[in-house]
Amino acid sequence: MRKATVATLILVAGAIGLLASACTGGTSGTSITTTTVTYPESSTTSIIQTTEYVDTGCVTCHTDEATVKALAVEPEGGESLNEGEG
Amino acid sequence: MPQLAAWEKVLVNGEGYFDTVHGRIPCNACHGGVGDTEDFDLAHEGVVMDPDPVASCLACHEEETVSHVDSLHSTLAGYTKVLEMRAGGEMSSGLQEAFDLHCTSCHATCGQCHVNRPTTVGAGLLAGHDFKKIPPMNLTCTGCHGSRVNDEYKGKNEMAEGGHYPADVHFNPGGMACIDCHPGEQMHGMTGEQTHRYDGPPDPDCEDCHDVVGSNPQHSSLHLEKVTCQVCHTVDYKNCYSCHVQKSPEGVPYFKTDPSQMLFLIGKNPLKSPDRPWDFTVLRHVPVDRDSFSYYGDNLLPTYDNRETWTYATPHNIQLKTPQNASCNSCHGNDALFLTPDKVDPDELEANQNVIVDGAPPAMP
Repeated sequence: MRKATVATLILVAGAIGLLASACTGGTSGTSITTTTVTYPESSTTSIIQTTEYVDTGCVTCHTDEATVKALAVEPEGGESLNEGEG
Repeated sequence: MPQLAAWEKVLVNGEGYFDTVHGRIPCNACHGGVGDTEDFDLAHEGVVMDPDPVASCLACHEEETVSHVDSLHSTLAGYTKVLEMRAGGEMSSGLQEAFDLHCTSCHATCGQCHVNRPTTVGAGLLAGHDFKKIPPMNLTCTGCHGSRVNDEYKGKNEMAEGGHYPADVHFNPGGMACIDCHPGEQMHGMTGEQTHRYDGPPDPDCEDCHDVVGSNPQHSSLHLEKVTCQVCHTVDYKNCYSCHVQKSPEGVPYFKTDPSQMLFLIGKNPLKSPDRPWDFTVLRHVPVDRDSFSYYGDNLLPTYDNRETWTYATPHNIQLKTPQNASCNSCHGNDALFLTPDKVDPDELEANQNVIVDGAPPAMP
């Protein structure tokens, strides 16, 4: 029992050792290439910065047909003065 | 095109628009105004109906936007170029005022093709504020290109003897929309710098799709070298005359033009170059007069004769078979088809010296 326990410990230690050498990319021939990932900084002029804007008023009116019918203003002015082909 | 009621122009599609990429952008990020109020007047303070492309579209659509701002649809450089030719090389203040009031309504922002009808036809959302990658030609392109291109392309021009001229075969039966020959890259000015739509080689070029060499006896090398495709393959097209612009006593700008005429006339190619090597082309009369802008000042076109009034044309009414290609002598020996001096207004003879021909090529034996 004691021999089995020692053997197990030796096996586990050996496995840990293998993993450690792999991670450090030593001269054993195994290596892991790491890549540093960077994300572009948000443009200060980007219009997708939503926190600056509140448009609930716009949406409430402009998506309601009854409301826009009641409020939309027909352009002033009578008949066009243009004559002939444009 | 049918006009929209005021409310139709501004009704946003609440069912689907806000699930789109553009719908996630707050309204006032592009349009300004005050978005957190239901007070009508306050909400619309500072609102921009037609957002500036650089301010609104550049962040995500950099390539297209950067090209677009210098494109002909944005700058209208083609108009200023030809006016400057007649104005002694530069726009006077009076001519600039006239141009700004009467000629710039066709300036196309991104929104006026992809979201809205063009301002020149009264604006209005195309489809509840949905962004259309491919603008619907019947609501956008033909909003500005209506009087000539739309009517020719769709066969809407009436014949004097009744009936209509045929539609361009690319439309019927071809079923082609504007974008099939004039793709987004061209519209966005991404195909090269231009100061006029006829700068450089033809774009589109018929031979992009049609293999014409040797395809029939009339496509002889002589014809292909000497005449544009339109000489054989277009029919009568609209010619316009005598546009005058002014303002009403109330300050409302307006124009008047004389009645247009449906004509087909061949003349010398005023744009002959290595890119456009042909000797002959069809010519369309443009409605500029010496005093077109006289309301805004005297002698605003001092070099009026520097450019022809019968101009290089590419009518959008292409036909396979036309009266002039029915036989050799349908064209050869047929002076009626050619811009001879008797067909030119005497006041315009000097301006058109480079395009007028003495007569048709001799009849074939």
